[in-house]
Amino acid sequence: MWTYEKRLQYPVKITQTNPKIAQIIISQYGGPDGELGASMRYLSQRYTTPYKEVAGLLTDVGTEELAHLEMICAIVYQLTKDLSPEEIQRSGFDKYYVDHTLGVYPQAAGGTAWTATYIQSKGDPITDLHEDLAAEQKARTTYDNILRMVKDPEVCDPIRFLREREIVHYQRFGECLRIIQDNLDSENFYAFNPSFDK
Amino acid sequence: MSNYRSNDMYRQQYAQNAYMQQPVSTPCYDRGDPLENMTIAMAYVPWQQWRQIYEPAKGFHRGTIFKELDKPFVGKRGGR
Amino acid sequence: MNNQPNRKEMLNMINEISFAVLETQLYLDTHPCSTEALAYFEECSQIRNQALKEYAKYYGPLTIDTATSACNDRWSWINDPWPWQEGGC
Repeated sequence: MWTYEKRLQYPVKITQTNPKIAQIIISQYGGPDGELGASMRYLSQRYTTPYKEVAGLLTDVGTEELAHLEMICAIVYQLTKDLSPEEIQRSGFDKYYVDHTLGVYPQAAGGTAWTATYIQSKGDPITDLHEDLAAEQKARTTYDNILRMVKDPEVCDPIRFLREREIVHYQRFGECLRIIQDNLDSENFYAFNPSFDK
Repeated sequence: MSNYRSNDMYRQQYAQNAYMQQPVSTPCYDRGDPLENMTIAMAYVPWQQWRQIYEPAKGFHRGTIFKELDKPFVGKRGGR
Repeated sequence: MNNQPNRKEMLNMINEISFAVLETQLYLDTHPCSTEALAYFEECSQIRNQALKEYAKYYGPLTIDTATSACNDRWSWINDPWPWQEGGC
């Protein structure tokens, strides 16, 4: 089960509102390659993994991603705090505002609500780990894209942190895949599904 | 279509090699493979070792305690 | 007054050492036999646990397990600031 620590993993202190970039950054909350998807993906995959190292890593990274989505929400919250109706209208944030006011809602930058169709939990360790490796790269690219759009150093700082975490996770998932390979016959890795076949 | 383009590249390389008097036994680039002993039809990420650990304060700001995993976004070619 | 440590500095230290603990934790998940990582984890965890208790004493709990370290007659877990607020960190 989960406990909560009353701090962000990395500080978010944004003093200047900017609803335009809030609209972009929200994709890392509820978008196709965002932290919510990452968390649900890893936490869903862990149940049927037959290897304890992989179960441990999926649990721990899945938990860390919850801390990341909290940071993204804090960024969006601070970027849109106390906006006036005029500021909302001017920035194009009005489309979001009409449905959510200043509430933080899991959606992509384009407005699509988060959906489990963004993730897969295939129940086969080799397949799931390839999904996870891809997910970390997609998240990293999304952060690259955000860093090109954002100039405010107060925003860039936590974003850079989150981007670096994706690279570290990629390495860990790569090691999980090696562990899975070590437990299979290299003559044919695909002879059976170690999570299902007897 | 793409075969046509890559043959063109090899022809250019072949021509350049010939101009610079480098071995031109084959027009294709003989890449060699550091993974040649690994089973094919599978992906492999190398194992990380415990080394080059940042102090906690530095690690925290870089987003990793491992110097070897510290790979920042530069946003243009030629940078590291 | 007394030797009350600065809140921001304490929290910053907790953030840094907690991050070292987490990084080592993830490394150990895939390298469970690494003696260096195990030793580093031990070292950092001790510092972290001590710091969390210390913080709770002066500034209220960051974890439910340290909620008793805060000596007062009100439920301090719900006090401001929350992490997403300015200054909440």
